[in-house]
Amino acid sequence: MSVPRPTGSPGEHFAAFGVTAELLQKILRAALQTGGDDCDLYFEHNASTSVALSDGKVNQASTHVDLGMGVRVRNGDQVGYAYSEDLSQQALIAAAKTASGIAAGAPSCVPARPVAAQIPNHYPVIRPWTEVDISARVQLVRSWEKAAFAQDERIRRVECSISDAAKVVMIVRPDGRLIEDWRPMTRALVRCTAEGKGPDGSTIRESNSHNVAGRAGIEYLDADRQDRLVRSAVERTLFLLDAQSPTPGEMPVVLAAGPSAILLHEAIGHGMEADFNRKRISIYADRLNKKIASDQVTIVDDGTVPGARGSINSDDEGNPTERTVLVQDGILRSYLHDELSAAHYAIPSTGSGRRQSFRHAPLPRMRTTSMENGPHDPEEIIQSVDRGLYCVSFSNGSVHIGGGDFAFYMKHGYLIEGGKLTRPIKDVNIIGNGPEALERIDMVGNDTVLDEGGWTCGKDGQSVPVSQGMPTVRVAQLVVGGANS
Amino acid sequence: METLSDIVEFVIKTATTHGANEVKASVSQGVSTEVTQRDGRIEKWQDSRSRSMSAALLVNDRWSVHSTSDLRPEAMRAFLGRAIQATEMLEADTDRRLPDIEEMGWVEPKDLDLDDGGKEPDLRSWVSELEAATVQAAPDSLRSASAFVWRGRSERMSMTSNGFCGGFATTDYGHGATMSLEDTDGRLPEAYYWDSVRHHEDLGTIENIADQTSTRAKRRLSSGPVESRQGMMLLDNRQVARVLGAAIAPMRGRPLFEQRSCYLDKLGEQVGAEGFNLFDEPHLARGLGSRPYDGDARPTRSRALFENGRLQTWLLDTYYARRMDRPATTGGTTNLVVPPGDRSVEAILKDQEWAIRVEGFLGGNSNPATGMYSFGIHGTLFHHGEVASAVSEMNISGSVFDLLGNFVEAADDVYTASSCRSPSLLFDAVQFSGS
Repeated sequence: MSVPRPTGSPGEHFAAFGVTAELLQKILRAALQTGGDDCDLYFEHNASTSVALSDGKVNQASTHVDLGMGVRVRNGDQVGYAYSEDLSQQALIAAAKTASGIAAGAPSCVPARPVAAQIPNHYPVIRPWTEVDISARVQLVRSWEKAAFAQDERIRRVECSISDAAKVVMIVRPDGRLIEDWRPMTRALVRCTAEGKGPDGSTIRESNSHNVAGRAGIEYLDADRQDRLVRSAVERTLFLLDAQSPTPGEMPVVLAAGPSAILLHEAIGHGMEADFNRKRISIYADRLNKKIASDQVTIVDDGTVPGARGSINSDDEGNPTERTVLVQDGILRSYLHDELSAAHYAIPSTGSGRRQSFRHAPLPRMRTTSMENGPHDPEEIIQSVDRGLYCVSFSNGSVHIGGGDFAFYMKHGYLIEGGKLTRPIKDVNIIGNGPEALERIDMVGNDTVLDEGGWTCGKDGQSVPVSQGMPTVRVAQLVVGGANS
Repeated sequence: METLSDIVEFVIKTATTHGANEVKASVSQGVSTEVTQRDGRIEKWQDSRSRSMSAALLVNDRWSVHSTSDLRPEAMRAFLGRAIQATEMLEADTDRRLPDIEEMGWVEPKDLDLDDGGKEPDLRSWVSELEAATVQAAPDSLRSASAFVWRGRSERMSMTSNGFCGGFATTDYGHGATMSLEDTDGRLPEAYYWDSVRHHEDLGTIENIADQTSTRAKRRLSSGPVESRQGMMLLDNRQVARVLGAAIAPMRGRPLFEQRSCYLDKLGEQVGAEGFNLFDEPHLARGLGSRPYDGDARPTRSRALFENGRLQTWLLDTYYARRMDRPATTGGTTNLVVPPGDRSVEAILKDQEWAIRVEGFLGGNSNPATGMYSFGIHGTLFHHGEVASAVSEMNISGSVFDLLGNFVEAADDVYTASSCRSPSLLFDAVQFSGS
């Protein structure tokens, strides 16, 4: 039941709800009635469907519809924000008048008549979920359950789910820009529970999952990806049956290519979001064009990766998205900007203004954050470590923006002993300091991979979909948790 | 449709007309305003007005859940029609049905006192005074401070096709501050502190928010990891919820039913130390977690989760209780309560040769299947009650069985501005990893 891709001209989707060009101008006029510098209207119509299998039954389904408009008025660096879930003229103008309360002067401009702007398409969809009925979803999750059980007799339970969503967003500005973007999303998850025997003969149960996500239709779930989804879920679960907690302490950490980019996201990416730097509360404030990492390190944040979960055709302020180089050969080159921070630094926005929904004002956010290839072979990196940790998969991360401390939770990995992967390791938190960790990245591999997991980034109570990628990397020293002292 | 009861009645009538055998309709609406101030000026003023509906549908033994914020009658009618069609394509699950009406009910919402009617304090002067007090309380190394205040009121109502109808309103007020300081090594450690209450008259003072924020920020200066070892952990009363979360997750119906809970064979067993007690108290007057009825529309009731260290219950909603052929308890917790001890934090710390007071977490996770946890922490190292150093970039790791088994005592400083009402707690033999 996701929202179909609009077939009419931009603006027609919401015109069907009574939001005409004339009404848009009235709302903009109300928003600027007390002299704000600028404003934006963000309309959203979002619909999603989820189907899940648990304990042998495809017995769970849910659908969700979200509809509304948020209006932001800017007065210098001050923000007034209000939203309405009611798209009637009276409710929309009332919201605009509420947001206008941030300013206290005479009307600042006469809004231009909205004209649709052309935007690129970074997520071409071949077969949207609107063409797929529930029974086809049921068959898919059934087939994953069957495949998972077939892989290993130690698998005792399997859960599978498919979630698809699509939203139409429309951003309208007083300068006449009207940007409409249709944003699809597909996410699939398989979770397994396995049973095995411990060294003392006791029963051990473990559970783990794998998920994939991208801005695409059902074609995203091709045979290879489905096979990988199931196989990874099974392998990651069985792995835990034999894994241990490591001896805690500081040690070299090798991050495997792909999902390890959670290091970039937490240790570096958030600190590059320009709202923190504009307020001078990020540890990277005042460090533009300074050396912050070794020459091997180049980091980009890109909103244009085809089909990536973090991609956007336009940001949520109506600005073009782009590929932003944050760190080039170890030198900090740019922050991630929304319009507020761009105005503060007197530079163009990087198209990074994003929001969870119409209920939230935009903030500078990451899109697809990745590290570019370095010179080292991955095997060479592992062989360089006498005793350390090799991290493969992760579940979550966190950062203190000002202090720079970050943490991420490793779900599974290996001990490195004598340059070789040896014992399987699980469930440890790894903690460090962002700038120190950057300086300690002393080997970068030549095998960068964009992870296909369904990552979601949280900030200021807002969640947005993101992607991340990374080559194999060695960090000379991080603090590893562990219960086996 | 003007009222919440208009909406739930419409949903039930429409869904049953379209073929649903059972329906639970819920609707909520709320208004709130949050204001943030920094550098002597309003940074952000946000007004929120929301209204949304959700419907759980049973159609020929098939169950699904749907929600929408598009409450136009014709849109809801079409939405429910599509939802019922989608439900019919699922596989049957006879355990997915409403509880019998005899099991449903509620505690009188007035007795919970969750709504003060909605006061309208002057947000502009409130946030301005709080920011000024915060800046005044800050040390010379202040880089930036901000203050935030909020007020809100929400109402919710639920109705089922077999006769339940209940609703209640809550009000929320709060204020807090954040502070970033300049450390000597170039870092900018930050701290925050806030109060959250149901009744406006219960709010703490502006001065307390400012002082606590400053105190917590100063504690984070010159911090770093100390040597890895096992030792005493004094868990600050505001941080207890995170650790209890790891101890409660395996109690829930889903991991138990799916046999990925470490409590599968632990009901009634000694899991923690004799002195460890944890209760769920849904009826605390003005409690942030208080509720008249639970997610299955059953009346809430007090229950022990751990008593004298023994695991007393599993959290089974109607569905998982049926799947496991056990009596239903409830699907979630409300106000978690740990009884206080007799001694102050200072007195407890004075008796410890080495103890880290954990004042905040950074990342980490727990595994309900094994009970293992690993969390990043920051805090303060004490020797016999004297501050030795500020601690950061460290982890604590272990199993919830060891942690609860090594519970030593509770302090007397219960934290009330939370749905986790606990004093600071002392645990022995916690594995800290650092340098």
